[in-house]
Amino acid sequence: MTSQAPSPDDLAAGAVAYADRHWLHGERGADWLQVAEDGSLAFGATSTGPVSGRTGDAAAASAVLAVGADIAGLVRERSDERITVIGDGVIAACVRSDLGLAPGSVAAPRGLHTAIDTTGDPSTVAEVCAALEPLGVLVLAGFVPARPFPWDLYRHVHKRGLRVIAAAPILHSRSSLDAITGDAVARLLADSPPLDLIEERLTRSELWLRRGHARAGPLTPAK
Amino acid sequence: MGDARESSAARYIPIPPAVPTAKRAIPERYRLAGVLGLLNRFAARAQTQIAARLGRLGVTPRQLEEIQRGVLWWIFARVQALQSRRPLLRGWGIAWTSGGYAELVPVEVPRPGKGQITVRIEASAVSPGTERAQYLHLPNAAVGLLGRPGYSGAGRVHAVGRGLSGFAMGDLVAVTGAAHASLVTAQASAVFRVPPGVRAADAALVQLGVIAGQGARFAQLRPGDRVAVVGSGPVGILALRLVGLAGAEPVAVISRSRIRSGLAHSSGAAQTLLAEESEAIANLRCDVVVEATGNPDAIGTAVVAARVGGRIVLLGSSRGVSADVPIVAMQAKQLTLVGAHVDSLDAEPQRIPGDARRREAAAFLAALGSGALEVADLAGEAVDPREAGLFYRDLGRGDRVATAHFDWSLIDPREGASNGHFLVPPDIVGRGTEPLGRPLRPRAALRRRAGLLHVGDPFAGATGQLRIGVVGCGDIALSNASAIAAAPNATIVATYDPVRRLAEDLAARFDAAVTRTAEELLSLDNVDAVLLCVPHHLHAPLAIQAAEARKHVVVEKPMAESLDSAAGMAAAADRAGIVLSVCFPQRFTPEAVLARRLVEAGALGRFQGSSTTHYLDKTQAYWLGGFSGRSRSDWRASKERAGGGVLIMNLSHHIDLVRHISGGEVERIVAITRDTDEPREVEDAASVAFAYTNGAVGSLVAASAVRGTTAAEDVRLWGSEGQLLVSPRGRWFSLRSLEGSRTARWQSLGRLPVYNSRAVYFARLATALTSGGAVDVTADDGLAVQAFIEGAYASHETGADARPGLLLEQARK
Repeated sequence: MTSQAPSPDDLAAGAVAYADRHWLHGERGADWLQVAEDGSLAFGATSTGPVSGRTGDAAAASAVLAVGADIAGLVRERSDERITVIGDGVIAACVRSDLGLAPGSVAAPRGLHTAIDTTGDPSTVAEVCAALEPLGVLVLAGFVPARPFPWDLYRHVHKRGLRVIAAAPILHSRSSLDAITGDAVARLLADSPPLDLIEERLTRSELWLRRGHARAGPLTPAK
Repeated sequence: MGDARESSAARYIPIPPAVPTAKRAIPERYRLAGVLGLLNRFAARAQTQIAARLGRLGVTPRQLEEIQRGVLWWIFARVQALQSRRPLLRGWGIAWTSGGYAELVPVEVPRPGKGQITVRIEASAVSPGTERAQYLHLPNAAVGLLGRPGYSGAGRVHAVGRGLSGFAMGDLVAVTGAAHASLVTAQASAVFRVPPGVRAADAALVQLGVIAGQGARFAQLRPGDRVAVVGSGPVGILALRLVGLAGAEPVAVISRSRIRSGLAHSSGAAQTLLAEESEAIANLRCDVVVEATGNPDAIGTAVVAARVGGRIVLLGSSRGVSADVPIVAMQAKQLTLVGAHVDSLDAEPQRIPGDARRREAAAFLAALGSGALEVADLAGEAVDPREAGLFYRDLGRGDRVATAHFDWSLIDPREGASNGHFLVPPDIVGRGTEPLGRPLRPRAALRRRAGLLHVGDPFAGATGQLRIGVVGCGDIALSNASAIAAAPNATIVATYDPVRRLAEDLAARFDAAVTRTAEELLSLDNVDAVLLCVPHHLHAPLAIQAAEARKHVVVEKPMAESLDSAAGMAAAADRAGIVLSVCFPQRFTPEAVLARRLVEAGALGRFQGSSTTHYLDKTQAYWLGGFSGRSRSDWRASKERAGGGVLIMNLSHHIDLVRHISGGEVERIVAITRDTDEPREVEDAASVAFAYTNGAVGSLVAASAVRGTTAAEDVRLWGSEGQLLVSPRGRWFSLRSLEGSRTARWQSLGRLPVYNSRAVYFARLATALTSGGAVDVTADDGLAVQAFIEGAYASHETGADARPGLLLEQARK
């Protein structure tokens, strides 16, 4: 499996690219978050200028926190229900943090009303649907692979009355970005700093990845 | 990369803690699988054994399936009756029995127990999409164990259980969840009073109303929302009408075809778009798109039609996995997908179970009652429940059925709801399921006077007195003379045969004069018609001679030894202005009479084919003197004198019979004939394949050297809607209900009268000739058979196909 991780040659001088670990799967990969030398952000179809003078990792952390906040906002009104966040990347961590869920926490032992998927993986999505209570809510907040996304909508969504909210993990507004505090950025970078993708391998510990002037090449899973 | 993929939902979803076990050598699931595997293997082996043993008793797999179903229903009805401690009622219901058959079968329901109501159904709604999927066994469309389709119905209260008030006998009510049946017993929570002025057929849509209403509610509509529906089935159209009532704006129906564009238009939709009109669909930019197709790939169309931030309501039960859900496009548009299956209503918080369904049903009926909602076009055409098999076949073909309901008022009221009997055993015969098994007895109405299967007196209406002179007094002359004697209006007045002994014998038996020559017989004034019972090659010269003597001619089959000779006979008859008829008495057997009547009544639908097999064993004696040996001659073994073997000698009857019953004319023939037994000039085996002018196919296989047979045969015809077995033991199978007959079952022709069909031929001939009417079997009929036979022989000779019509045309020139 190869990734479409940008090579250093693709990046502007001084720019660094960042990705949630789940964005690496699939043939297409995903658009990486790119931070220019001056702290400007380019993410999905959105590009924006520097935020509070943050650059590099801090700017990137602001962006992923804003994305997490936007996704969490979709289900905040249901926060008194049983919620789980699927995934172990930085977006999942930010969403959990925003919703006040402990890192790695799982839902209550009985029933699951709301799930946020950040993996984008079809089989994972199917499992989540099966676990949700009837009339539950599923937020699709992962980048899906470019290959076909098969889904038994009748069994997983229709029959059980689920509500599926499709929300790409991208910056939707500048206001979300502006609302991210320096403390939050500092906490994220302290707890989960992005790791350089230099060995072309992922380990279990990486929530997100960074590629600046690193070597380009195919990504292979760690054994 | 593998690490990123390995995070599965299971890590974030509660899983019950594993129960510690002392011995973990074999994981639990594998041990369970092993036990189930053993059980399955045992069950399969037992089933094979049972099927094999029953097979030896003549029980076919289909019969076995039918018996199993019958017993299952029998038990189910009695368990219900015991539970409610109420006796049984008997009615009729539609069942998908086996192998794609749908038919009307007897059903039993208990009288209503506490909190229950029995309803005599007048109309039951069809949901074309779902029922088609169930009928075709498409994914996600399982039908229940009992194989009873149906959604909902409406009818009159037949009986009310204890503890219920507010319902009176005869009230018009709608019932959700009712199977297609004349009679249902349901919990009162599923029964709704129908507002005055609402037709039963419209109220029967109540379950579809619940489904569509639920979809509209789940869409969380706001006034002015632009709504499109993907799919133009009743649920989709109904949803579109309900969103209109809710203040939204129905803008379009997106469909695979424009067959239902009228429904869409009457629902307020400004346009009907075809699914491939992607640009126009993208321009819709709807706030809400209701996906109501059942097509797993229609989600793509719905995504295109929705605006950014819009909602897609899944209302149609998709039949299978969507191969590629456009998640990226959905994320780009930030769409919300809402599952709105009717079962999810039960998951809503509610005070009383079923409240949500009741609320939707009541709202639907109220809208009908107030006139705010019109559904007459969705109720669609009324279908006779007895023709359910035909209906589901049409439904299965796709776009041939737009909307429909079953009209139960067509069932005899006495049969629609009658008292059942607890102790009556289940049917363990599988009656009517197999052509050679035990057929159903025909309904009494069919056998009554003027009924379709009433044969009556075949000699009724016989008038006049036809005086017949017989030329040729051998084997077949004796049979014909006996038949003439049995006819009330025909008599033999003279006989002639070159072997005087034979002529005298026949004359003595039937009190006729004997002539010395054929010319003398033809000169007699008291001879109206001449019956030719001579070797085939003599038919033409004698017929022409008789015609010139102004005598009507009756010729024993076949018409002649060749088509040229037969054409010459017909021409001579025309010139002389006399009638020439060929004796094909098999047309007048009760089986043939009823078979033709059934075909004319539409039992077969469009004629699609015929098959005839006929086997007999002609011994050495036959070739020297026929079956009886009455007249010794070897003409039957001569190609020149007989014209052929088994095909012309014996099968000419069957060729005429099938032509007479089906009304089909043969266009093209391919044949192989052989003399397999001993070297002779004529064939003793023939295999003929042919095509009818209407596209039907036919086959005919005959052999006269099949040891151990006297006359074994099978003559059958089939069409788009049924099959007829004319011989042996006439019986029929039709999807079309004729005069209220059962469908999709083999039915006997009833108790048939015994009479001499040759006598009927002569009686009818006599009536026609003495009254100036038309005879049943004309020279043209004889020529058609002759052309078929000539075509078969020609095909065998040339190795190419032959066209009887062309041959006949050439012979007539």
